[in-house]
Amino acid sequence: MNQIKLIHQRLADADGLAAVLVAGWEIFELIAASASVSADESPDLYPAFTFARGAAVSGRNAIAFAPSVRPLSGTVVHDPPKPAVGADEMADVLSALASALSVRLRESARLADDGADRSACENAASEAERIAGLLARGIS
Amino acid sequence: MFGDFLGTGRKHLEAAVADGDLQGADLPDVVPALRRLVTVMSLCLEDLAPCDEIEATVRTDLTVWERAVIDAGTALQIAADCLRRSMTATGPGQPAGHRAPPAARHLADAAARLTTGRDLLHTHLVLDPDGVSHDQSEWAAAVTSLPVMRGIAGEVADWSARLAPFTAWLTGLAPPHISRHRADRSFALSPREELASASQWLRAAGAALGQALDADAVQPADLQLLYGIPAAVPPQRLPPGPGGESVVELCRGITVSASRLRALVHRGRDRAIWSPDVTSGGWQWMAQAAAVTSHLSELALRSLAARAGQLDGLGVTDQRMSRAAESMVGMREAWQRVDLMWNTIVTERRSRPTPAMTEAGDLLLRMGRLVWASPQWTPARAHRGPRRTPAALAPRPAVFTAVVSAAHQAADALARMAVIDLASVQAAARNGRLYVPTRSLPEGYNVPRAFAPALTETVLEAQDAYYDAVGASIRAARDLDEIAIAIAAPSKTLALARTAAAVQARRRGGYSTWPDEDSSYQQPGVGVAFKHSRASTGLPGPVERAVRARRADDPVLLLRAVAIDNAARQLIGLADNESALPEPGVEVGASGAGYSHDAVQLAAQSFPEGAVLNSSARASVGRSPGPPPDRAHPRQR
Repeated sequence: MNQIKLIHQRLADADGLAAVLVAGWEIFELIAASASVSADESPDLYPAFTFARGAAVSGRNAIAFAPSVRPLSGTVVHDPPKPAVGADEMADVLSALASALSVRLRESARLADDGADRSACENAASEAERIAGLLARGIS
Repeated sequence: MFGDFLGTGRKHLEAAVADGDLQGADLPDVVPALRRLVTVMSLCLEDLAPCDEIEATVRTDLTVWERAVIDAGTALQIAADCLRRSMTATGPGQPAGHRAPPAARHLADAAARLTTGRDLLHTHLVLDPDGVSHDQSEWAAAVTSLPVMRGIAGEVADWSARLAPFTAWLTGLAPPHISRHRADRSFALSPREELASASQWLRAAGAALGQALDADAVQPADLQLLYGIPAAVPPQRLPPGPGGESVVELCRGITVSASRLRALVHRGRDRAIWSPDVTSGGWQWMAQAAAVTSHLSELALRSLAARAGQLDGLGVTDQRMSRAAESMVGMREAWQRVDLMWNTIVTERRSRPTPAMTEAGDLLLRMGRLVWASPQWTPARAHRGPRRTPAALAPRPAVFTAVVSAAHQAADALARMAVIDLASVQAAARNGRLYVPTRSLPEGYNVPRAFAPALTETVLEAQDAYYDAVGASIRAARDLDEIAIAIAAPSKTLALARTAAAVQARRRGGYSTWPDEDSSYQQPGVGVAFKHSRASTGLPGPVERAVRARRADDPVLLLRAVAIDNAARQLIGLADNESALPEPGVEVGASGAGYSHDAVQLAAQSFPEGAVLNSSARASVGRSPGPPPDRAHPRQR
């Protein structure tokens, strides 16, 4: 969970398009890894986590299309957080993280000068919104 | 379904030849209808015949049924000709508006139903301009199988046996001789004799088929398969609505989606091999949908296992249902491995929704709504609901079989999808369409882009993951095949078709269009068969794999491994031909030419491909070497 908090903070601190894209890449990878671990924890959340992981991979790949994305070699690959928390709590956390990411990516899309950057941000934001939608708690 | 038309046609036939209806028989009404029916019967047998009667006289490889349908078809053609000549003699038919007697109407209706049934079977095959038949649907192999041949021929034998005495009875209504004048010439016609001949030829047809029936009787399963063959026109999509559907309606919707998915997969199989619209995102989504559907099927089958002990007369035990649920676990795990593999492999395009994804989505949604008692269930966490109890899922035996059918349909459609996805992923690998994130490459690679061409090892892992998914899906489908037959579930036709198609494929010496454990798709992931080599599939064979597994990167060593794989493939090909061919005195020219051609290919082959090779070595390889460094960045479309 600390890893998630740290990356959440890094997203909040990200200044400029390139920094948001790098943070976004890492968040998508973290969500993919975490969802993979949590999918087997709860039979009723298996579909949500499975499709959330797919959306995370799509979001990460969308970011790769952005011309402003920095070279990524040497970037730390996250180990999935150990499921110290239950699947429901993990879903809450990942949903909130994805929601925050989608907001930052939409903002970045509006500010981007390059059309390809804008398109990449919007596509990635859509995937982040999908994740948030899949993992969000119900109204009841 | 074919059985609908055949069953109705049979009822009309029985009504036509029933004693009570013969009183109103009138030759100008009855004989044309009878001739139409006999003509359609002969055409049905002609469809089944592997050659004409002239070629059959010199063929020594025909089965008893093949010879019987040729002989009986010829007899029925002659019978139809006799009936045509008797029509000429008995005069023109009745004027329009005239109401034909019941016997004539029933015969005409029987002919119309049989014609429609034959048309239905023809939707599964299409002839090219050279007259060569091509599969038009996944049912084609079943339609041309021995069980279906037996079923149709058995029906025709029965119909011929009923029509022969009826036609003989008609001779009593016909005049012995008639004289006709045409263009200053006189003709002496004998309608009675023609009808008598027609009757005899109908008996002859029945007798020819009777010999085959004695040698190899029609099995009940043959007729079940024959009657269950649908038209090659997928049903209309049934989008899941916001309102609640009953368990039976959900099962029906799953069957529709599975049928549509099978048809889409079959029609798109050639396109999937080359189309750039097939993307990593699409493959991953389908793998996820397959994994989730397997998971949901497992939950449904576990509920049915609990319910099996509570319902009487099901014909299946709870242990057997539990085994089927376990095979779904294996299927889910295999698809999950495919899904995870796509985390690190991408294609050059972003995913777009496809019709197959829509059908897989509908199927998944309904499977979820079967398991969870929420009419609004979706994979989203917010739409969760309480689990449906076993009693609510299967309140009575009929619903129990419907749920088994639904799971069976889903597993079968996903097995088919796995086979096609495997082929299209292999094609994408050969065409250099697979990339990996640069960060996932081993140390020492300096690619200034986010993505780089996938390494050979990665491609092989992907291929192995798909082989596992194909195998696990087929195993799950076969487990449900057995249960579907045991409880006479509506989906039992799938099981019968799989068996018939597998036998038919072996007779043809090709691959089945119906995935089966015995088919050639079922390759072990690790012990790759020698028929897979650089020269055949473009991917490493077993020796090259073994060398690569030892981290050997000497190009000469790898080249030797490739050469050994190719030579082994050739040797096995020789052995296959050796065992298949030699009829004494038969020339082996074509095969011989093939060997020399392969030898030329082998001699011309350069170093094997792979990340261990430098660019100059890559450039010398005959097939696509993958994109150059300046193309290593995926393009967005």
